[in-house]
Amino acid sequence: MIGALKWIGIVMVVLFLPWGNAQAMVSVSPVIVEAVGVAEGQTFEVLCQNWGDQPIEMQLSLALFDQSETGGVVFLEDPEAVHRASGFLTLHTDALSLDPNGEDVVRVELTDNSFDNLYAVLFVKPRQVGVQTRFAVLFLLSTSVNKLANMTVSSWVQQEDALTLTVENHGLRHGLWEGEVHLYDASDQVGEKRQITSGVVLAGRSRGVQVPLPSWVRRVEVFSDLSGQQR
Amino acid sequence: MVRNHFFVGVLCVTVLLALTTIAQASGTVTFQIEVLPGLSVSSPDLLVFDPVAPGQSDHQDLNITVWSNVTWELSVQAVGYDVEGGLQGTIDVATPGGWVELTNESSVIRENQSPTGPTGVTLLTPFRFIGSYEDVPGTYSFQVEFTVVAAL
Repeated sequence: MIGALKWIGIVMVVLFLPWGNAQAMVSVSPVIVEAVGVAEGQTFEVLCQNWGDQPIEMQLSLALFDQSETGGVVFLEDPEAVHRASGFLTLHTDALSLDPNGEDVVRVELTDNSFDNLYAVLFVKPRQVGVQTRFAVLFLLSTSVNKLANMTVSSWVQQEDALTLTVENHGLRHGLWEGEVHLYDASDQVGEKRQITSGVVLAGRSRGVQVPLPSWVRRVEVFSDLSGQQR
Repeated sequence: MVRNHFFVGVLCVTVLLALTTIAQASGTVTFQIEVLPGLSVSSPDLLVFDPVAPGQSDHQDLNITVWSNVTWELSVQAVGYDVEGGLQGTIDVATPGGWVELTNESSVIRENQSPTGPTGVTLLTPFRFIGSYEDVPGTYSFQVEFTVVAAL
């Protein structure tokens, strides 16, 4: 059977069904919602727009997200994460219908604020022909106003053309790390001082920050801005 | 004489006050506008691979256009692939780090992409299918889902 397949086996793969040639274009804004001191009953709005000339249905769902070591977004879409997200946030509808060149607002209500931080995601998925795309709207919610991010540089590695820092957030809120890197030349003189800002680091997480280095750099020193940055 | 100077002075002050009032009436207005982070995506057409025999491969490129005013990421996952009775051959997607097998779990194929500006950015994403002897000849289909998200 396998031998036969070797010669006559022809497999044609068609990706991205259903069939169609539509070039739908959909916009979503905002795509990051950050709020502190959030309270039960608080509502967040996300605008969806259809720029195409055909009506389109939008499917809405909730999940959680985390952060990878490189700082990337990791979606948590397992049933437990989806259940947890739905326990804190409620969608007023799970589908939207947008007319051509139409728009509508998705309302997300915080129904339970028994958390320090909630990192949830709203998926907005147009039901359309062609390749399937979806938007992820990130919610970074904190119940406290006073709790701060607590950033430290846990390690750094100098390579030939880059400096890689690992920034850890020991605080109870997401934030940014800010610091300064001093670049020393062959005569051990500071040739350049560079201000560095990491991307967002979620509470209790760490992420890598890469700083390109000129070829003349022999050694570096890293200084943290102890005040920390909130976002 | 003194009285005339007084009236001239009062007249000057009155004119100055009037000019000030006119200037305020036609003065500048401060506009305050908040620009929110937003994303747009243009969905491409479907992608059809050429017929392949077991062990052979075929490459196809897919274009997806993204508009964003913030740093963003793009990930991809297969939906309904590798299910019972489904396709067993390997589908790979190209990433900056090389080919990555497309699975039902999301894989990041573009990280830390800069804001695109009004023209957007069209990404050419190569896909590769390698036929398998496990697949009975025929036509198979499944969906691929792209997720666009603002970078943290």
